[in-house]
Amino acid sequence: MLFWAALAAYPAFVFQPSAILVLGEAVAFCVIAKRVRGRLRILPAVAMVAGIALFNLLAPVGRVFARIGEVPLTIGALELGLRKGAILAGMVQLSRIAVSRDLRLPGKTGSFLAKVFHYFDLITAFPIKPKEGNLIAQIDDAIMRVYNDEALCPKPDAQRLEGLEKDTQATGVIPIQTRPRIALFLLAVIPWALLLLGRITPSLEELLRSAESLRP
Amino acid sequence: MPAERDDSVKLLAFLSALCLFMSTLEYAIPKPLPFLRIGLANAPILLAFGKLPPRRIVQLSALKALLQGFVSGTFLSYVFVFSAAGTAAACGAMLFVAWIGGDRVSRVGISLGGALASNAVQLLLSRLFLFGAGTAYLAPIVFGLGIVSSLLLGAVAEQAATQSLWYRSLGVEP
Repeated sequence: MLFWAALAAYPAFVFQPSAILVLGEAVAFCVIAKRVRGRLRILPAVAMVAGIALFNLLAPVGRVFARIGEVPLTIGALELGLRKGAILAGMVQLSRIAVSRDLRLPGKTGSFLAKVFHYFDLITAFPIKPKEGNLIAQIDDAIMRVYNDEALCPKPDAQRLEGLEKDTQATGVIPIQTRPRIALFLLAVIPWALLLLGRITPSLEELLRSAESLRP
Repeated sequence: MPAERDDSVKLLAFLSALCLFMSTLEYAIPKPLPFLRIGLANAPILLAFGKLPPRRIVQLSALKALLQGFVSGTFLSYVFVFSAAGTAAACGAMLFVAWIGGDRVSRVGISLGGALASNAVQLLLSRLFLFGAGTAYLAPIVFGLGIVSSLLLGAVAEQAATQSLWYRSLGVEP
């Protein structure tokens, strides 16, 4: 369900026009990703946002707020860079929220992917002994045996595939893990509400102008 | 399901798993620059030429991009978008080169065509969405390394196709 909720949120997040709201959403996704997937590495995300913002500052847009030598730093460029960086950082966290090892897709697609991962498990688990020499021959032999030897396919896997298909046919839905449904609904819907709000949210430049006009 | 289709689907699943395995290997290899990739996961796609029909090769390429995204957890991120776009361009270019060249072109040529197309598309996306005009400074490095790695990969795939007992035991798909 997390997968579908994150997928639903994705377009609304990517097309959010307001840099402020996008930053807020990206932070929220970081918090959710930490909650559902554990360890969160904040430094790469901050570095990515800062790096992209810096690159975009090199192309001035809008009002100048500072100068580094001859290079004008503009609010518009900063906002553009922050928005791009926040979208990229947020996308990474949305991916972490969406994808897990327990992800199951229904029907023939799910069965096919289960086979792919099963072959992957067999390939990675097959013993290769580099010290015995002739690595290429060993790898070739391993591939041959994994591909052709049905005895390497343990029954529980076949049963798991059958069970998955039966569950899907009986209920018409994927067997889901227990997740708060309201939270999932909010994850899917709130970005769309913010997308509408983003159309009326002022830009950084407009906020700065308003702040200056309020000064005595 | 007819036996030929069974074999085709089985080989597709197996090569997809190989793509995933090669992709995992590549993550373990230190790279001079973090965003530059050797493209080891393309080796099974090169092996698919001559064994799978074009539509299966397209499916294999799509699966490679999808599975990399799932396993690395970057499915909804820019990494996936870049990877998918590069893979799509590479697949189209490889099929075109294979079709145009026929027996005259080896996996080395197919690999080179795919790499050039992939690099071009990814640089274009970088230009549009990430680094703007600054992408021009990256282009020579990306293309240069892409050419070298694709030639090596193509040579390895060609060698594997001629020497692998497993590969030679596979039937040729109609």
